[in-house]
Amino acid sequence: MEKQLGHPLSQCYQCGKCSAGCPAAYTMAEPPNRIIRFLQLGLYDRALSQNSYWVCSSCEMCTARCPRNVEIKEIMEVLRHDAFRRGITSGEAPVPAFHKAFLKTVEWFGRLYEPGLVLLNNLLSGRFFKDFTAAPGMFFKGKLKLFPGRGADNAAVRRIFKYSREEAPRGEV
Amino acid sequence: MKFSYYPGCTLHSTAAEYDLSARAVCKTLGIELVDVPGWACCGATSAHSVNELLAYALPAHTITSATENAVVAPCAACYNRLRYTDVRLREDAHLRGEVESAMGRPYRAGVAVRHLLDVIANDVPEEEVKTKLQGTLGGVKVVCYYGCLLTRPKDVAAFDDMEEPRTMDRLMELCGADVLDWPHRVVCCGAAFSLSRTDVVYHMTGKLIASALRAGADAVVVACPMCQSNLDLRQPAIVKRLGIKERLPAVYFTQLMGMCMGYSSEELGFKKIMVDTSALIKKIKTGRAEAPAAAEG
Ligand code: SF4
Ligand code: SF4
Repeated sequence: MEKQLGHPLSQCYQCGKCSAGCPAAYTMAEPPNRIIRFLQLGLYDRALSQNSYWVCSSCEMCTARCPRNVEIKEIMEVLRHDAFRRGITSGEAPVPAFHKAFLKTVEWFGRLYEPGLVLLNNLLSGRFFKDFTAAPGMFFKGKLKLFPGRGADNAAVRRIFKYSREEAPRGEV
Repeated sequence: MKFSYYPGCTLHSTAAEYDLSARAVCKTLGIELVDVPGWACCGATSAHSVNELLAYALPAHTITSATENAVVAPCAACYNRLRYTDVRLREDAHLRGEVESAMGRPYRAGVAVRHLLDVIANDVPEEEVKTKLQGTLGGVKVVCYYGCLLTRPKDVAAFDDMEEPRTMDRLMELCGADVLDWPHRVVCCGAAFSLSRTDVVYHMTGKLIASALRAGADAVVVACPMCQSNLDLRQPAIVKRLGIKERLPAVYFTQLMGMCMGYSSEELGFKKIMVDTSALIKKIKTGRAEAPAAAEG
């Protein structure tokens, strides 16, 4: 299991400090220390079927505070890559849909383009009118642009996306 | 002092006021910023959530495109991604090879990745900053919010303490603010969930707003556009849920510094902040008039 994850697990003594400091634990089906425990016991699929790694915000609090140097956030990430590749959403479909929308806009424009992201995100997650109410205010404050900005090296970005998609065995975009 | 400047996506759109105020403050402090030509998005949380190679190759493109020997990023998330990439590519030759194949050119190792807060606080001597201050913040009460990506992980983001960072506090005190202690300086705001699990942002950022108000803050000072957007844009919905009447402007440390350097609130983009900042600006001005010598202390 440690080999499969690429991160050691056995030193975890289940003190629970990771979960105590985790800002997302309240909405996880199983808190970070339990995910580590499942993995210690070889229950990989059980870990993968929880929503925990999808709602993890990658804030690093757990890894920073673990007295045994377990790389909890990094392990959450390994689970996320695998789940994304296999289309496992564990009840959190809007989260991977957002990541997909975000990366699509970056692939197209080289940079983030918020109005495009909101639209695409709503399309991919099937929530069509989400976040439209905030837009007019932002537009008048000059925070939203009508057109995507230019200046990014688009050719370089597309090349990176193409290569990462085709060559990387670790995840799909 | 000359740096490559990587504004990142949000400073070109939703966080335009951070860009304006950052450039203004740097100009006054003699920090020259040269935009990285052809810079691209760092991939943010999304890239490292789903594709490891992409998560390293996008920041590597920007680092390699830098023309100076150090690149400064004002966004905590960009800073974290660029720095993480540089650390990993320097220790893992295989990964570096993969990234170079993806980019189609060699990676430019040896470019220092810095956060704007680090550069302003640590490269310019305090005495020199003091000589540039024309006014003070008039004893206005602030809490400094660092969030998650500015100081963690410790082997990557290394300019301040992970649990008790003080860099921003020090700058704000120098500018004559009354910097309050509070327990949420390094707790995550929910960042990337703004559009997918907005309720998570309401929960996490709600805790921050309630805590800052409990401490008695007139404003929360930030150094990250994602934190600012969650604290500001989502605030109406959050205070409604929490039944809070007060409002808490979330402003960039560069905006407050700029106010002490003679820039007007228009030049610093205060009007672009969604939560009304007029009471805060008024408080700074009256405080300044009442205690003009505060900058010395
Ligand atoms: S903080 Fe570390 S040792 Fe404690 S339960 Fe979490 S992973 Fe295990
Ligand atoms: S990185 Fe994820 S699991 Fe760790 S504390 Fe943050 S939200 Fe929780």
